Amino acid sequence: MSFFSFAWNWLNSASQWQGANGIPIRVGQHLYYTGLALLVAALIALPIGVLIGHYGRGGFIAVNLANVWRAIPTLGLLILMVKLLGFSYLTWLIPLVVLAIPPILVNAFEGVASVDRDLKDAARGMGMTDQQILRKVEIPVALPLIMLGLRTAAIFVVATATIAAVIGFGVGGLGRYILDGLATNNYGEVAGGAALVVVLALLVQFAFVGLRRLVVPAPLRDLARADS
Amino acid sequence: MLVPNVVDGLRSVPEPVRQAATAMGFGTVRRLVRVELPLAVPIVIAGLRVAVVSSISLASVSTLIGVASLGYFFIDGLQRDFSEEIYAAIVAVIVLALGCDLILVLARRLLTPWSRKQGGRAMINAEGGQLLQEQAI
Repeated sequence: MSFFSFAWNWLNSASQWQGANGIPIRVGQHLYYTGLALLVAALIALPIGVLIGHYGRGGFIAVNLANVWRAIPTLGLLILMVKLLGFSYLTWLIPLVVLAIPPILVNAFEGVASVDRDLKDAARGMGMTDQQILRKVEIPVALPLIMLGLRTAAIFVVATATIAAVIGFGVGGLGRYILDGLATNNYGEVAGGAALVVVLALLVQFAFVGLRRLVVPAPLRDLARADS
Repeated sequence: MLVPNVVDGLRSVPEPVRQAATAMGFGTVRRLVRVELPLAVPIVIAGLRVAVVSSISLASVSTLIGVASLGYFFIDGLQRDFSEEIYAAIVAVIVLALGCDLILVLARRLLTPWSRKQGGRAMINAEGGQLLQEQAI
């Protein structure tokens, strides 16, 4: 049997869709891990990226530091957290936040730093203060790239939240299916769990496309499309 | 991850440069190989750096399904309650990733000798390409 028929047979059995270990609950857990990690990462990385872009200093260092940061192995960090913190929610949260920070930060920095100089001069000529320029000009113009960074991070985290199940002890999410299926040689469960992660990642991608339409000012949308 | 990146790199070649190449009698293929690809190198390599570093750090996950990798030491360290092993393996993964990153940076310097003369600004612009390609990951 192929991957698809394995996954399909498993997904089709009604018992998978009910109870405390049912697919809806697991998907909810998975989205909860993803959402919380993304939120925390955005709260850390967006202000830093925007400020570095605004003041135009340290950009080279920030971009290269982000590349070093990417090299941190998420699984290693997760296991280290298991050793250091035991089974708290920080154990899965910290590695996922670390994973999400580089794309958000680099895109926020690039977005703000690449705002047309003439645009900023025009805003200043209209009497805007430094703060107003940042709030009313630079951030709106940078929004397509900022959203792009958030989307990239979200897809990374959705796919990687799978390994949170390594912790065990009540940590669920879709990775539970993959690890449990491997442990019991139930390959239908493995394939089904993996298929669900893929579907979820695609849905997150579509959700961000929609979200970008909502938050990016209409005149900038063509720009946003050209960028992607 | 890499395909849109090459597209971005080729798109970044200024139209006048393309026209100049045509005016000099370059055909489509020769223009692509001799003019457009070399000019696209900074953006292509910027994307390659992100891809290489992320992949190396992600490859340690393979240990979960029993495929040997540096990730083995994470699980081993956890099972033996041996933190130093986990620290060492994390450092090893980072060093490996950065070593490959360094090779790519050197390759870019070799392939784009003109960007060295313009000083730091050109480098930062090249990194700007990293941003563009990031959307595609």
